[in-house]
Amino acid sequence: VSDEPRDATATAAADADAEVTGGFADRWANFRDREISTVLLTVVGVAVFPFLFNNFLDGYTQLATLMLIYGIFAVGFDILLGYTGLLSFGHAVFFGGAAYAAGIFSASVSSSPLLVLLAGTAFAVLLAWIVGFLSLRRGGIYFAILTLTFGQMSFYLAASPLAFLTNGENGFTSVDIGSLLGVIDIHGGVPFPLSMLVDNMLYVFVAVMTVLSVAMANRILHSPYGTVFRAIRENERRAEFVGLNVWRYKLMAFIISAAFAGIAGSLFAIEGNYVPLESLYWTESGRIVIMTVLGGVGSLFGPLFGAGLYLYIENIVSGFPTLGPFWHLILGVVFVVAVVLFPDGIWGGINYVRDMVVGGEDE
Amino acid sequence: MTANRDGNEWNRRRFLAMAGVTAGAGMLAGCGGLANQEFIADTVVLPAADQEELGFTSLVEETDRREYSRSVAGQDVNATVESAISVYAQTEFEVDFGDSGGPLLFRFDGGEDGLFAEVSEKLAAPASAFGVVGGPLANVNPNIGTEQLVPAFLTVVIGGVGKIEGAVVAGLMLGTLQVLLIQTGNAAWSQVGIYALAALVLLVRPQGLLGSEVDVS
Repeated sequence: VSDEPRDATATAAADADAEVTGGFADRWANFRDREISTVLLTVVGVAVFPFLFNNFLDGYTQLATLMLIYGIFAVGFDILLGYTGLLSFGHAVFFGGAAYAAGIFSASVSSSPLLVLLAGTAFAVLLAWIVGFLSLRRGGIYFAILTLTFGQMSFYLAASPLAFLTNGENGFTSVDIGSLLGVIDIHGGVPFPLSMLVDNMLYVFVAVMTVLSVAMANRILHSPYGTVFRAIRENERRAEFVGLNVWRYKLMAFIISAAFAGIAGSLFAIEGNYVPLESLYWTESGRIVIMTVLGGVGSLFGPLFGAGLYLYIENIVSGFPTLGPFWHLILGVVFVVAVVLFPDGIWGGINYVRDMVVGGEDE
Repeated sequence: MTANRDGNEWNRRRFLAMAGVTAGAGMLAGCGGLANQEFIADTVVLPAADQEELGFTSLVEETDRREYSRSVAGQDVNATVESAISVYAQTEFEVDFGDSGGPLLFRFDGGEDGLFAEVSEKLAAPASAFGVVGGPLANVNPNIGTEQLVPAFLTVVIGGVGKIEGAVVAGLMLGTLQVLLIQTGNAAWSQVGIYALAALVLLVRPQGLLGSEVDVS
Protein backbone atom coordinates (compact mmCIF):
# COMPACT_ATOMS: atom_id res chain seq x y z
CA VAL A 1 0.00 0.00 0.00
CA SER A 2 2.83 2.38 0.76
CA ASP A 3 6.55 2.51 0.39
CA GLU A 4 7.63 2.87 3.99
CA PRO A 5 10.52 0.87 5.39
CA ARG A 6 9.43 -2.55 6.61
CA ASP A 7 11.90 -3.36 9.33
CA ALA A 8 9.34 -4.06 12.01
CA THR A 9 10.86 -7.52 12.53
CA ALA A 10 14.22 -6.20 13.57
CA THR A 11 12.70 -3.77 16.05
CA ALA A 12 10.50 -6.47 17.51
CA ALA A 13 13.27 -9.05 17.81
CA ALA A 14 15.43 -6.61 19.72
CA ASP A 15 12.76 -5.98 22.31
CA ALA A 16 11.20 -9.05 23.87
CA ASP A 17 8.34 -7.08 25.44
CA ALA A 18 7.21 -5.85 22.05
CA GLU A 19 7.20 -9.32 20.56
CA VAL A 20 3.42 -9.61 20.40
CA THR A 21 3.07 -6.15 18.87
CA GLY A 22 5.96 -6.73 16.51
CA GLY A 23 4.57 -10.08 15.48
CA PHE A 24 1.25 -8.49 14.74
CA ALA A 25 2.84 -5.63 12.81
CA ASP A 26 4.90 -8.15 10.92
CA ARG A 27 1.94 -10.27 9.95
CA TRP A 28 -0.03 -7.13 9.12
CA ALA A 29 2.78 -5.89 6.90
CA ASN A 30 2.91 -9.27 5.18
CA PHE A 31 -0.83 -9.21 4.61
CA ARG A 32 -0.82 -5.63 3.42
CA ASP A 33 1.90 -6.10 0.88
CA ARG A 34 0.08 -8.78 -1.04
CA GLU A 35 -1.82 -7.46 -4.01
CA ILE A 36 -4.89 -9.55 -3.30
CA SER A 37 -5.30 -8.04 0.15
CA THR A 38 -5.33 -4.51 -1.27
CA VAL A 39 -8.08 -5.56 -3.63
CA LEU A 40 -9.96 -7.34 -0.84
CA LEU A 41 -9.76 -4.29 1.42
CA THR A 42 -11.13 -2.12 -1.38
CA VAL A 43 -13.97 -4.57 -2.03
CA VAL A 44 -14.94 -4.62 1.64
CA GLY A 45 -14.60 -0.85 1.80
CA VAL A 46 -16.87 -0.06 -1.14
CA ALA A 47 -19.36 -2.76 -0.04
CA VAL A 48 -19.95 -1.44 3.45
CA PHE A 49 -19.45 2.24 2.61
CA PRO A 50 -23.00 3.12 1.47
CA PHE A 51 -24.51 1.31 4.48
CA LEU A 52 -22.34 3.21 6.97
CA PHE A 53 -22.61 6.46 5.01
CA ASN A 54 -26.39 6.38 4.71
CA ASN A 55 -27.06 5.31 8.29
CA PHE A 56 -24.47 7.14 10.34
CA LEU A 57 -23.30 10.09 8.31
CA ASP A 58 -26.53 11.49 6.93
CA GLY A 59 -25.56 10.49 3.39
CA TYR A 60 -27.39 9.06 0.43
CA THR A 61 -26.38 6.49 -2.18
CA GLN A 62 -26.18 8.93 -5.08
CA LEU A 63 -23.58 10.98 -3.22
CA ALA A 64 -21.70 7.80 -2.31
CA THR A 65 -21.59 6.99 -6.04
CA LEU A 66 -20.27 10.46 -6.84
CA MET A 67 -17.62 10.10 -4.13
CA LEU A 68 -16.33 6.89 -5.72
CA ILE A 69 -16.27 8.54 -9.16
CA TYR A 70 -14.19 11.44 -7.87
CA GLY A 71 -12.17 8.90 -5.91
CA ILE A 72 -11.14 7.19 -9.16
CA PHE A 73 -10.29 10.60 -10.62
CA ALA A 74 -8.17 11.46 -7.55
CA VAL A 75 -6.38 8.08 -7.50
CA GLY A 76 -5.37 8.69 -11.12
CA PHE A 77 -4.32 12.25 -10.38
CA ASP A 78 -2.16 11.00 -7.52
CA ILE A 79 -0.21 8.77 -9.89
CA LEU A 80 0.88 11.97 -11.61
CA LEU A 81 1.19 14.35 -8.64
CA GLY A 82 2.14 12.02 -5.81
CA TYR A 83 4.24 9.39 -7.54
CA THR A 84 5.73 11.17 -10.55
CA GLY A 85 5.86 14.63 -9.01
CA LEU A 86 4.14 16.52 -11.83
CA LEU A 87 1.46 19.08 -10.95
CA SER A 88 -1.08 19.26 -13.75
CA PHE A 89 -3.55 22.10 -13.45
CA GLY A 90 -5.67 21.10 -16.41
CA HIS A 91 -6.94 17.65 -15.54
CA ALA A 92 -10.52 18.84 -15.99
CA VAL A 93 -9.91 18.57 -19.74
CA PHE A 94 -9.64 14.78 -19.44
CA PHE A 95 -12.48 14.43 -16.95
CA GLY A 96 -14.86 16.74 -18.80
CA GLY A 97 -13.61 15.70 -22.23
CA ALA A 98 -14.28 12.04 -21.44
CA ALA A 99 -17.69 12.96 -20.04
CA TYR A 100 -18.58 14.78 -23.26
CA ALA A 101 -17.15 12.00 -25.43
CA ALA A 102 -19.11 9.40 -23.43
CA GLY A 103 -22.29 11.47 -23.62
CA ILE A 104 -22.04 12.09 -27.35
CA PHE A 105 -21.12 8.43 -27.96
CA SER A 106 -24.16 7.29 -25.96
CA ALA A 107 -26.47 9.59 -27.88
CA SER A 108 -25.25 8.79 -31.37
CA VAL A 109 -23.47 5.40 -31.43
CA SER A 110 -24.32 2.97 -28.68
CA SER A 111 -25.94 3.30 -25.28
CA SER A 112 -24.27 0.25 -23.74
CA PRO A 113 -22.61 1.50 -20.51
CA LEU A 114 -19.44 -0.53 -21.05
CA LEU A 115 -18.93 0.78 -24.58
CA VAL A 116 -19.70 4.32 -23.42
CA LEU A 117 -17.08 3.92 -20.70
CA LEU A 118 -14.58 2.61 -23.21
CA ALA A 119 -15.24 5.46 -25.65
CA GLY A 120 -14.85 8.15 -23.00
CA THR A 121 -11.65 6.64 -21.65
CA ALA A 122 -10.18 6.17 -25.13
CA PHE A 123 -10.90 9.82 -25.91
CA ALA A 124 -9.20 10.95 -22.70
CA VAL A 125 -6.13 8.82 -23.49
CA LEU A 126 -5.80 10.20 -27.02
CA LEU A 127 -6.26 13.75 -25.79
CA ALA A 128 -3.67 13.19 -23.05
CA TRP A 129 -1.20 11.99 -25.66
CA ILE A 130 -1.48 15.32 -27.49
CA VAL A 131 -1.67 17.60 -24.45
CA GLY A 132 1.09 15.66 -22.67
CA PHE A 133 3.29 15.66 -25.75
CA LEU A 134 3.12 19.46 -25.87
CA SER A 135 3.02 20.31 -22.16
CA LEU A 136 5.79 17.98 -20.98
CA ARG A 137 8.33 19.94 -22.99
CA ARG A 138 8.35 22.24 -19.99
CA GLY A 139 8.74 21.42 -16.34
CA GLY A 140 7.59 22.77 -12.99
CA ILE A 141 5.34 25.79 -13.01
CA TYR A 142 5.52 26.10 -16.81
CA PHE A 143 4.06 22.61 -17.13
CA ALA A 144 1.25 23.55 -14.73
CA ILE A 145 0.47 26.73 -16.69
CA LEU A 146 0.54 24.94 -20.04
CA THR A 147 -1.91 22.31 -18.82
CA LEU A 148 -4.07 25.10 -17.38
CA THR A 149 -3.98 26.85 -20.75
CA PHE A 150 -5.06 23.73 -22.61
CA GLY A 151 -7.78 23.16 -20.03
CA GLN A 152 -9.19 26.66 -20.47
CA MET A 153 -8.91 26.36 -24.24
CA SER A 154 -11.04 23.22 -24.17
CA PHE A 155 -13.58 24.92 -21.92
CA TYR A 156 -14.06 27.80 -24.34
CA LEU A 157 -14.01 25.41 -27.32
CA ALA A 158 -16.89 23.47 -25.80
CA ALA A 159 -18.68 26.66 -24.79
CA SER A 160 -18.88 28.28 -28.17
CA PRO A 161 -17.25 26.99 -31.39
CA LEU A 162 -18.15 23.35 -30.69
CA ALA A 163 -21.57 24.15 -29.25
CA PHE A 164 -23.19 22.19 -32.09
CA LEU A 165 -21.65 19.07 -30.52
CA THR A 166 -21.66 19.95 -26.85
CA ASN A 167 -24.82 22.04 -26.60
CA GLY A 168 -22.81 24.99 -25.30
CA GLU A 169 -23.56 26.58 -21.96
CA ASN A 170 -26.59 24.42 -21.30
CA GLY A 171 -24.44 21.32 -21.00
CA PHE A 172 -24.94 18.07 -22.89
CA THR A 173 -28.44 16.87 -22.03
CA SER A 174 -29.05 14.03 -24.49
CA VAL A 175 -27.03 11.37 -22.67
CA ASP A 176 -28.76 8.05 -23.28
CA ILE A 177 -27.64 5.09 -21.19
CA GLY A 178 -29.05 1.65 -21.93
CA SER A 179 -28.96 -1.51 -19.88
CA LEU A 180 -25.77 -3.23 -18.80
CA LEU A 181 -24.93 -6.17 -21.08
CA GLY A 182 -28.43 -5.86 -22.47
CA VAL A 183 -30.16 -7.25 -19.37
CA ILE A 184 -29.32 -5.27 -16.22
CA ASP A 185 -31.11 -1.96 -15.73
CA ILE A 186 -28.34 0.31 -14.53
CA HIS A 187 -30.65 2.71 -12.73
CA GLY A 188 -32.67 -0.10 -11.16
CA GLY A 189 -32.49 -1.98 -7.87
CA VAL A 190 -30.23 -4.88 -6.90
CA PRO A 191 -31.07 -8.56 -6.16
CA PHE A 192 -31.42 -9.84 -2.59
CA PRO A 193 -28.06 -10.67 -1.04
CA LEU A 194 -26.58 -7.40 -2.27
CA SER A 195 -29.63 -5.35 -1.42
CA MET A 196 -28.78 -5.58 2.28
CA LEU A 197 -25.81 -3.32 1.64
CA VAL A 198 -26.60 -1.34 -1.52
CA ASP A 199 -29.88 -0.18 -2.97
CA ASN A 200 -28.95 0.76 -6.48
CA MET A 201 -27.33 -0.95 -9.46
CA LEU A 202 -25.45 2.17 -10.54
CA TYR A 203 -23.53 2.13 -7.28
CA VAL A 204 -22.55 -1.51 -7.87
CA PHE A 205 -21.31 -0.64 -11.36
CA VAL A 206 -19.28 2.33 -10.12
CA ALA A 207 -17.99 0.30 -7.15
CA VAL A 208 -16.74 -2.47 -9.44
CA MET A 209 -14.97 0.13 -11.56
CA THR A 210 -13.45 1.64 -8.40
CA VAL A 211 -12.09 -1.73 -7.30
CA LEU A 212 -10.66 -2.37 -10.77
CA SER A 213 -9.11 1.12 -10.86
CA VAL A 214 -7.53 0.74 -7.43
CA ALA A 215 -6.23 -2.71 -8.38
CA MET A 216 -4.81 -1.30 -11.61
CA ALA A 217 -3.18 1.65 -9.83
CA ASN A 218 -1.76 -0.71 -7.21
CA ARG A 219 -0.33 -2.99 -9.88
CA ILE A 220 1.22 -0.08 -11.79
CA LEU A 221 2.72 1.53 -8.71
CA HIS A 222 4.23 -1.70 -7.39
CA SER A 223 5.70 -2.70 -10.71
CA PRO A 224 9.20 -1.68 -11.86
CA TYR A 225 7.40 0.88 -14.02
CA GLY A 226 5.98 2.56 -10.90
CA THR A 227 9.40 2.48 -9.29
CA VAL A 228 10.69 4.53 -12.21
CA PHE A 229 7.92 7.09 -11.61
CA ARG A 230 9.11 7.44 -8.02
CA ALA A 231 12.71 7.71 -9.14
CA ILE A 232 11.73 10.60 -11.43
CA ARG A 233 9.90 12.28 -8.56
CA GLU A 234 12.91 11.97 -6.26
CA ASN A 235 15.54 13.12 -8.71
CA GLU A 236 14.82 13.55 -12.37
CA ARG A 237 18.42 14.18 -13.37
CA ARG A 238 19.70 11.13 -11.56
CA ALA A 239 17.02 8.98 -13.19
CA GLU A 240 18.17 10.29 -16.54
CA PHE A 241 21.83 9.51 -15.79
CA VAL A 242 20.90 5.97 -14.83
CA GLY A 243 19.81 5.62 -18.43
CA LEU A 244 16.05 5.97 -18.21
CA ASN A 245 14.15 7.85 -20.87
CA VAL A 246 12.58 10.26 -18.39
CA TRP A 247 10.45 12.09 -20.94
CA ARG A 248 8.79 8.88 -22.10
CA TYR A 249 7.99 7.79 -18.55
CA LYS A 250 6.57 11.21 -17.74
CA LEU A 251 4.37 11.09 -20.81
CA MET A 252 3.14 7.62 -19.86
CA ALA A 253 2.43 8.73 -16.28
CA PHE A 254 0.43 11.63 -17.72
CA ILE A 255 -1.52 9.33 -20.02
CA ILE A 256 -2.19 6.71 -17.33
CA SER A 257 -3.41 9.44 -15.04
CA ALA A 258 -5.66 10.82 -17.80
CA ALA A 259 -7.05 7.31 -18.39
CA PHE A 260 -8.26 7.25 -14.77
CA ALA A 261 -9.72 10.73 -15.26
CA GLY A 262 -11.40 9.36 -18.40
CA ILE A 263 -12.95 6.43 -16.51
CA ALA A 264 -14.20 8.86 -13.86
CA GLY A 265 -15.51 11.33 -16.45
CA SER A 266 -17.40 8.65 -18.38
CA LEU A 267 -18.92 7.33 -15.15
CA PHE A 268 -19.84 10.91 -14.26
CA ALA A 269 -21.79 11.23 -17.52
CA ILE A 270 -23.45 7.83 -16.96
CA GLU A 271 -24.30 8.67 -13.35
CA GLY A 272 -25.83 12.08 -13.95
CA ASN A 273 -27.22 11.47 -17.46
CA TYR A 274 -25.91 14.95 -18.11
CA VAL A 275 -22.58 16.70 -18.75
CA PRO A 276 -22.34 20.26 -17.40
CA LEU A 277 -20.03 22.71 -19.15
CA GLU A 278 -18.40 23.40 -15.77
CA SER A 279 -16.85 19.94 -15.87
CA LEU A 280 -14.22 21.49 -18.16
CA TYR A 281 -13.68 24.69 -16.18
CA TRP A 282 -10.41 25.30 -14.36
CA THR A 283 -12.14 25.13 -10.98
CA GLU A 284 -12.68 21.43 -11.65
CA SER A 285 -8.91 21.01 -12.07
CA GLY A 286 -8.46 22.90 -8.81
CA ARG A 287 -10.97 20.65 -7.05
CA ILE A 288 -9.07 17.51 -7.93
CA VAL A 289 -5.78 19.01 -6.71
CA ILE A 290 -7.43 19.87 -3.38
CA MET A 291 -9.03 16.42 -3.06
CA THR A 292 -5.73 14.66 -3.72
CA VAL A 293 -3.69 16.85 -1.38
CA LEU A 294 -6.39 16.59 1.30
CA GLY A 295 -6.36 12.81 1.06
CA GLY A 296 -2.62 12.49 0.94
CA VAL A 297 -0.30 12.65 -2.04
CA GLY A 298 1.82 9.61 -2.65
CA SER A 299 -0.60 7.12 -1.10
CA LEU A 300 -2.92 4.75 -2.88
CA PHE A 301 -6.02 5.08 -0.69
CA GLY A 302 -5.59 8.66 0.50
CA PRO A 303 -7.14 10.36 -2.55
CA LEU A 304 -10.32 8.27 -2.12
CA PHE A 305 -10.71 9.72 1.38
CA GLY A 306 -9.88 13.21 0.15
CA ALA A 307 -12.56 13.06 -2.54
CA GLY A 308 -15.04 11.71 0.01
CA LEU A 309 -14.33 14.45 2.56
CA TYR A 310 -14.49 17.23 -0.06
CA LEU A 311 -17.84 16.07 -1.43
CA TYR A 312 -19.14 15.46 2.09
CA ILE A 313 -18.47 19.07 3.05
CA GLU A 314 -19.81 20.34 -0.27
CA ASN A 315 -23.05 18.34 -0.16
CA ILE A 316 -23.84 17.38 3.42
CA VAL A 317 -22.23 20.03 5.59
CA SER A 318 -23.62 22.71 3.27
CA GLY A 319 -27.09 21.56 4.32
CA PHE A 320 -26.45 21.92 8.07
CA PRO A 321 -28.72 24.49 9.75
CA THR A 322 -26.35 27.30 10.79
CA LEU A 323 -22.98 26.09 9.49
CA GLY A 324 -24.32 25.29 6.04
CA PRO A 325 -23.82 28.59 4.25
CA PHE A 326 -20.20 28.67 5.44
CA TRP A 327 -19.24 25.40 3.79
CA HIS A 328 -16.68 27.04 1.52
CA LEU A 329 -15.00 28.54 4.57
CA ILE A 330 -15.14 25.20 6.40
CA LEU A 331 -13.53 23.51 3.42
CA GLY A 332 -10.77 26.11 3.44
CA VAL A 333 -10.17 25.68 7.18
CA VAL A 334 -10.14 21.88 6.85
CA PHE A 335 -7.64 22.18 4.01
CA VAL A 336 -5.36 24.52 5.97
CA VAL A 337 -5.55 22.37 9.12
CA ALA A 338 -4.87 19.20 7.14
CA VAL A 339 -1.88 20.72 5.38
CA VAL A 340 -0.41 22.23 8.57
CA LEU A 341 -0.97 19.26 10.91
CA PHE A 342 -0.84 16.37 8.45
CA PRO A 343 1.25 17.35 5.43
CA ASP A 344 0.63 13.84 4.10
CA GLY A 345 -3.11 14.39 4.19
CA ILE A 346 -5.79 12.24 5.77
CA TRP A 347 -3.93 9.06 4.90
CA GLY A 348 -0.78 10.42 6.51
CA GLY A 349 -2.87 11.19 9.61
CA ILE A 350 -4.31 7.67 9.67
CA ASN A 351 -0.82 6.21 9.35
CA TYR A 352 0.44 8.44 12.15
CA VAL A 353 -2.35 7.36 14.50
CA ARG A 354 -1.85 3.70 13.54
CA ASP A 355 1.86 3.91 14.22
CA MET A 356 1.16 5.47 17.61
CA VAL A 357 -1.15 2.59 18.49
CA VAL A 358 0.72 -0.32 16.94
CA GLY A 359 4.12 1.25 17.46
CA GLY A 360 5.80 -1.00 14.96
CA GLU A 361 6.27 1.04 11.85
CA ASP A 362 7.91 4.30 12.71
CA GLU A 363 11.65 4.53 12.83
CA MET B 1 12.09 58.54 -11.35
CA THR B 2 11.49 55.21 -9.76
CA ALA B 3 13.25 51.91 -10.05
CA ASN B 4 11.47 48.61 -10.42
CA ARG B 5 12.55 45.37 -8.77
CA ASP B 6 15.19 44.48 -11.31
CA GLY B 7 16.80 47.86 -10.75
CA ASN B 8 15.87 49.09 -14.23
CA GLU B 9 15.18 52.78 -14.15
CA TRP B 10 11.92 54.12 -15.35
CA ASN B 11 12.65 57.43 -16.95
CA ARG B 12 10.34 59.75 -18.75
CA ARG B 13 11.45 58.71 -22.23
CA ARG B 14 10.80 55.08 -21.52
CA PHE B 15 7.43 55.85 -20.00
CA LEU B 16 6.42 57.93 -23.01
CA ALA B 17 7.59 55.19 -25.35
CA MET B 18 5.43 52.67 -23.52
CA ALA B 19 2.46 55.01 -23.56
CA GLY B 20 2.98 55.57 -27.27
CA VAL B 21 3.08 51.85 -27.97
CA THR B 22 -0.03 51.36 -25.90
CA ALA B 23 -1.98 54.07 -27.67
CA GLY B 24 -0.72 52.96 -31.09
CA ALA B 25 -1.68 49.35 -30.55
CA GLY B 26 -5.04 50.46 -29.24
CA MET B 27 -5.68 52.38 -32.42
CA LEU B 28 -4.40 49.54 -34.58
CA ALA B 29 -6.77 47.19 -32.84
CA GLY B 30 -9.55 49.27 -34.33
CA CYS B 31 -11.03 50.39 -31.08
CA GLY B 32 -12.29 53.54 -32.74
CA GLY B 33 -14.64 51.43 -34.78
CA LEU B 34 -15.95 49.83 -31.65
CA ALA B 35 -17.20 53.09 -30.26
CA ASN B 36 -20.43 52.87 -32.19
CA GLN B 37 -22.03 49.49 -32.49
CA GLU B 38 -25.38 48.16 -33.54
CA PHE B 39 -26.89 44.89 -32.37
CA ILE B 40 -29.97 43.80 -34.21
CA ALA B 41 -31.87 40.64 -33.41
CA ASP B 42 -33.60 38.63 -36.10
CA THR B 43 -37.33 38.89 -35.78
CA VAL B 44 -38.81 35.54 -34.93
CA VAL B 45 -42.27 35.21 -36.36
CA LEU B 46 -44.60 32.37 -37.17
CA PRO B 47 -45.39 32.55 -40.90
CA ALA B 48 -48.99 33.39 -41.74
CA ALA B 49 -49.61 30.01 -43.37
CA ASP B 50 -48.49 28.18 -40.22
CA GLN B 51 -50.55 30.47 -38.04
CA GLU B 52 -53.65 29.49 -39.98
CA GLU B 53 -52.83 25.79 -39.92
CA LEU B 54 -52.26 25.72 -36.15
CA GLY B 55 -55.06 28.12 -35.35
CA PHE B 56 -52.85 30.81 -33.88
CA THR B 57 -53.47 34.52 -34.01
CA SER B 58 -50.78 37.05 -33.56
CA LEU B 59 -51.09 39.14 -30.41
CA VAL B 60 -47.79 40.99 -30.55
CA GLU B 61 -45.17 41.16 -33.27
CA GLU B 62 -42.98 44.07 -32.53
CA THR B 63 -39.40 45.23 -32.34
CA ASP B 64 -37.91 47.34 -29.62
CA ARG B 65 -35.03 49.72 -30.13
CA ARG B 66 -32.88 51.01 -27.29
CA GLU B 67 -29.79 53.18 -27.12
CA TYR B 68 -27.03 52.70 -24.61
CA SER B 69 -24.19 55.13 -24.01
CA ARG B 70 -21.28 54.64 -21.67
CA SER B 71 -18.00 56.38 -21.19
CA VAL B 72 -15.09 53.95 -21.21
CA ALA B 73 -11.64 55.27 -20.48
CA GLY B 74 -12.60 58.71 -21.69
CA GLN B 75 -14.17 57.38 -24.87
CA ASP B 76 -17.85 57.62 -25.51
CA VAL B 77 -19.20 54.24 -26.50
CA ASN B 78 -22.67 53.99 -28.00
CA ALA B 79 -24.63 50.86 -28.65
CA THR B 80 -27.97 50.40 -30.27
CA VAL B 81 -29.86 47.26 -29.41
CA GLU B 82 -32.85 46.16 -31.38
CA SER B 83 -34.71 43.21 -29.97
CA ALA B 84 -37.81 41.49 -31.26
CA ILE B 85 -40.72 39.84 -29.52
CA SER B 86 -43.66 37.89 -30.91
CA VAL B 87 -46.57 36.45 -28.99
CA TYR B 88 -49.25 34.17 -30.44
CA ALA B 89 -52.41 32.81 -28.93
CA GLN B 90 -54.33 29.76 -30.02
CA THR B 91 -57.92 30.75 -30.61
CA GLU B 92 -59.58 28.81 -33.40
CA PHE B 93 -59.12 25.13 -32.72
CA GLU B 94 -59.42 23.16 -29.55
CA VAL B 95 -56.41 20.87 -29.42
CA ASP B 96 -56.32 18.33 -26.62
CA PHE B 97 -53.17 19.00 -24.61
CA GLY B 98 -54.17 17.17 -21.44
CA ASP B 99 -55.42 19.13 -18.46
CA SER B 100 -54.06 22.45 -19.47
CA GLY B 101 -57.44 23.94 -20.58
CA GLY B 102 -57.57 27.49 -21.90
CA PRO B 103 -55.81 28.86 -24.94
CA LEU B 104 -52.12 28.12 -25.51
CA LEU B 105 -49.73 31.00 -25.59
CA PHE B 106 -46.58 30.89 -27.64
CA ARG B 107 -43.94 33.44 -27.04
CA PHE B 108 -40.91 34.00 -29.23
CA ASP B 109 -38.29 36.23 -27.80
CA GLY B 110 -35.64 37.79 -29.99
CA GLY B 111 -33.00 36.57 -27.57
CA GLU B 112 -32.51 39.70 -25.55
CA ASP B 113 -30.54 37.87 -22.86
CA GLY B 114 -28.04 36.52 -25.35
CA LEU B 115 -27.79 39.93 -26.93
CA PHE B 116 -26.94 41.55 -23.65
CA ALA B 117 -24.08 39.10 -23.13
CA GLU B 118 -22.75 40.02 -26.56
CA VAL B 119 -23.20 43.71 -25.92
CA SER B 120 -21.23 43.57 -22.69
CA GLU B 121 -18.53 41.49 -24.35
CA LYS B 122 -18.14 43.94 -27.19
CA LEU B 123 -18.21 46.95 -24.93
CA ALA B 124 -15.65 45.32 -22.64
CA ALA B 125 -13.16 44.88 -25.48
CA PRO B 126 -12.05 48.53 -25.82
CA ALA B 127 -11.81 48.74 -22.07
CA SER B 128 -9.29 45.93 -21.91
CA ALA B 129 -7.37 47.32 -24.89
CA PHE B 130 -6.92 50.58 -23.01
CA GLY B 131 -5.84 48.70 -19.95
CA VAL B 132 -8.84 49.75 -17.92
CA VAL B 133 -10.67 47.22 -15.79
CA GLY B 134 -14.17 46.79 -17.15
CA GLY B 135 -15.79 47.27 -13.75
CA PRO B 136 -18.65 49.48 -14.89
CA LEU B 137 -19.54 47.04 -17.69
CA ALA B 138 -19.23 43.61 -16.13
CA ASN B 139 -21.64 42.65 -13.41
CA VAL B 140 -20.01 42.68 -10.02
CA ASN B 141 -20.70 39.29 -8.48
CA PRO B 142 -18.84 36.85 -6.23
CA ASN B 143 -17.54 34.96 -9.27
CA ILE B 144 -15.94 37.98 -10.90
CA GLY B 145 -12.52 36.93 -9.63
CA THR B 146 -12.89 33.35 -10.86
CA GLU B 147 -13.34 34.59 -14.41
CA GLN B 148 -10.53 37.14 -14.37
CA LEU B 149 -7.94 35.18 -12.41
CA VAL B 150 -6.69 32.86 -15.13
CA PRO B 151 -6.36 35.47 -17.94
CA ALA B 152 -4.57 37.84 -15.53
CA PHE B 153 -2.20 35.09 -14.45
CA LEU B 154 -1.50 34.13 -18.05
CA THR B 155 -0.82 37.74 -19.00
CA VAL B 156 1.84 38.01 -16.34
CA VAL B 157 3.47 34.70 -17.25
CA ILE B 158 3.60 35.23 -21.00
CA GLY B 159 4.87 38.76 -20.51
CA GLY B 160 7.67 37.47 -18.34
CA VAL B 161 7.41 37.22 -14.56
CA GLY B 162 8.88 40.30 -12.90
CA LYS B 163 8.66 42.53 -15.96
CA ILE B 164 6.10 45.32 -15.92
CA GLU B 165 6.62 46.10 -19.61
CA GLY B 166 6.08 42.41 -20.33
CA ALA B 167 2.69 42.45 -18.64
CA VAL B 168 1.67 45.52 -20.63
CA VAL B 169 2.78 44.00 -23.93
CA ALA B 170 1.18 40.63 -23.16
CA GLY B 171 -2.06 42.27 -22.05
CA LEU B 172 -2.16 44.30 -25.25
CA MET B 173 -1.43 41.23 -27.36
CA LEU B 174 -4.16 39.16 -25.78
CA GLY B 175 -6.65 42.01 -25.80
CA THR B 176 -5.86 42.93 -29.40
CA LEU B 177 -6.21 39.34 -30.55
CA GLN B 178 -9.53 39.02 -28.76
CA VAL B 179 -10.86 42.23 -30.29
CA LEU B 180 -9.59 41.25 -33.73
CA LEU B 181 -11.34 37.90 -33.57
CA ILE B 182 -14.59 39.54 -32.47
CA GLN B 183 -14.36 42.25 -35.10
CA THR B 184 -13.69 39.79 -37.92
CA GLY B 185 -16.79 37.78 -37.12
CA ASN B 186 -15.08 35.02 -35.15
CA ALA B 187 -16.47 36.00 -31.76
CA ALA B 188 -16.95 32.33 -30.87
CA TRP B 189 -13.20 31.79 -31.16
CA SER B 190 -12.16 34.90 -29.27
CA GLN B 191 -11.59 33.16 -25.93
CA VAL B 192 -10.04 30.06 -27.50
CA GLY B 193 -7.71 32.32 -29.48
CA ILE B 194 -6.13 34.02 -26.49
CA TYR B 195 -5.41 30.67 -24.82
CA ALA B 196 -3.97 29.29 -28.05
CA LEU B 197 -1.69 32.32 -28.30
CA ALA B 198 -0.69 31.87 -24.66
CA ALA B 199 0.13 28.19 -25.24
CA LEU B 200 2.17 29.09 -28.30
CA VAL B 201 4.19 31.73 -26.43
CA LEU B 202 4.79 29.34 -23.53
CA LEU B 203 6.01 26.63 -25.87
CA VAL B 204 8.24 28.87 -27.98
CA ARG B 205 9.47 31.26 -25.33
CA PRO B 206 8.53 29.91 -21.89
CA GLN B 207 10.41 32.59 -19.94
CA GLY B 208 7.90 35.08 -21.32
CA LEU B 209 8.12 37.68 -24.07
CA LEU B 210 10.40 40.05 -22.16
CA GLY B 211 11.55 37.65 -19.44
CA SER B 212 15.16 36.76 -18.92
CA GLU B 213 16.54 33.27 -19.44
CA VAL B 214 15.48 30.79 -16.77
CA ASP B 215 15.66 27.04 -16.38
CA VAL B 216 12.38 25.81 -17.79
CA SER B 217 12.96 22.10 -18.26
